Amino acid sequence: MTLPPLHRSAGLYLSWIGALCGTVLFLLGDVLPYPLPFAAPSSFFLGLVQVEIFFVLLIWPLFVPLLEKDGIRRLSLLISVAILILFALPLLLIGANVSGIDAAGLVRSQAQVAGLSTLGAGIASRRRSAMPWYLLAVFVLSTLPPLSFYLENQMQAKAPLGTPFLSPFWAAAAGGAPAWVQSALAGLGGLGLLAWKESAP
Amino acid sequence: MSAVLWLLVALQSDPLVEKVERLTGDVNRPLLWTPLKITVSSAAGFSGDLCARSEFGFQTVKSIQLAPGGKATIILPALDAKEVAAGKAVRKMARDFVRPERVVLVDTSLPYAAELVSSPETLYQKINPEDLQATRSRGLLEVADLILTKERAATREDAEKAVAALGEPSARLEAVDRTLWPLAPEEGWVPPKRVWALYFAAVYAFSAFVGLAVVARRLPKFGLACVGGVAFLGMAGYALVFPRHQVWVVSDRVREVGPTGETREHRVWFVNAAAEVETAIAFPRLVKPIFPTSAGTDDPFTLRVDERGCRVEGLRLGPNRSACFGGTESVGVTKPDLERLPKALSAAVLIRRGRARYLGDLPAGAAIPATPEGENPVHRSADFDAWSRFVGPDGLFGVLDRDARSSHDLDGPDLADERERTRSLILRLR
Repeated sequence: MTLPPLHRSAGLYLSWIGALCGTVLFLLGDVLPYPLPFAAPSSFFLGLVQVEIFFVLLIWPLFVPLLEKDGIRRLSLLISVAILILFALPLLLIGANVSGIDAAGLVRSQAQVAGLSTLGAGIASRRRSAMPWYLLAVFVLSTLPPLSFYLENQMQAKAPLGTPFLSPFWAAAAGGAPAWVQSALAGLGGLGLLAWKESAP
Repeated sequence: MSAVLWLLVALQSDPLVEKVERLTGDVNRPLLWTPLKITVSSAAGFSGDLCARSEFGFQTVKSIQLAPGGKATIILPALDAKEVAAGKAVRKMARDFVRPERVVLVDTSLPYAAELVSSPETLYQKINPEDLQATRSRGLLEVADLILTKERAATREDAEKAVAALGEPSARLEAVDRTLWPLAPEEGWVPPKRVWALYFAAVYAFSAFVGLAVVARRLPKFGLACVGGVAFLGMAGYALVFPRHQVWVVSDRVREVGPTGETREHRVWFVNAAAEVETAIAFPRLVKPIFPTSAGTDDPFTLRVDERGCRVEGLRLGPNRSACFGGTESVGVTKPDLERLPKALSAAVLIRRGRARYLGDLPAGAAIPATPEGENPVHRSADFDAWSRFVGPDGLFGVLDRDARSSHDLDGPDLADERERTRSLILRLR
């Protein structure tokens, strides 16, 4: 397994770093004429993780075909995932420090990011025709279960659309078991997809 | 046999809080320091804390050591104390207060001290010179409206004149003060963490761009090393520079000059935390907690008093749970110029006969107007609102310096940042 020159996929990494650093600047830079109510220390780390999850769910799969053109195929895509996480680590260390998140919380969040990005890589690499369905599923799972939970919880409405922890964003916010379960399921699914083609003739 | 039983009983109640008296008299002024003179004895010897538990939910504590059969008399500051405890011994505080209009402390070494008799309006509380010296310099006698000493009133006539001349007492920092709390910072960020996070994000994004778009392109073999290098430098930068702790403190300092030149310095510290934390902070002077409501606190903490300052222990803080502490020290006596400003002031407000007038920024040496009449309307600022009761009916308030600067007065294991926000001046003109 050889890795082609890294600068060919510089667009991916710069987008990733740009999104994360841009989030920091947006949250802390007083760019708007009014203070952002969610730009609080307690939610800073979660804000960064949510941006990571958004990126690996919706933007990272769009880069996968470009990486494959450059020769990064199948399980080699996991190296790109590792580089993404390595690149984000200094910012996440700052976020964890600011929000008072311990090492277990940091590892759990990055495991979820790794699992979701593996799934995205698997689908974009091996089931490209299913990408629209993948994006629709991401949208539905990210929005409808939390909405249903909100309606049920706050307005006592009967709208059972499953647990809100199906949403990756919700699971990241909840931490604990939902994030681990989701990272394991997504990671195994993604690995299965990548490895399945690996062994195919 | 009976001797053994007596010894067992004595040991069970050891140490013994023999006597507790309020040095400033049995007056009910719960928001001000009340120094307690406590006599403790121990048959078997005792090493531990002597504490005064407050109705506000915290306790003041002093460490004591008694040899077997020893006895000690300790002065312990207290705020609305409900009980005094040493080891297992607890003594409830009597609450049969007298309600005089004014409290006059009298140095017992004065020749006429014994002749002064309290009335329903005036309580003459005798205090010996040693206790006076031990408590006055720390601001513990703030309950007193007047302290009669040799310097102040050598003869009984002087004393009577001084008592007759007593007007409204000057304002003191009180344990419950909702007017000071609007000065508490609203933002939950530890200031250097915010600045460093911003700076770091900008530098990190730039480094990543240079590493990937310039270096990795020119030297493709080193692309991976370049990425690793940027990430490693980022983590090293975080480890070396980024503040670790979550507690940060903002303080305000106000110098108050009275009409006769006596000068006091009030300092107020707002202690904040960006995350839930239980911490300890050492202050350079004796401070009292300042609560926004008379309910005090639900999270008990300990204020350990030492010879000079004090240390707050077991203080629970969080993003929505700040604490405020304040202390006053007498600076001395200076000859005040009540006609002209000694220093340049900004956002100055003049009060004459209870009427306020906003003067704005004034240069050093500017004349202080004799009347509040003028074109400028009353300007209400948070600083003036917080400190206006210290200005009194005739006085001037202004901000000397508004540049937040780092200060290093406090000490604590979780302290990330400490800065002094404003310095203000109060001239009491009458």
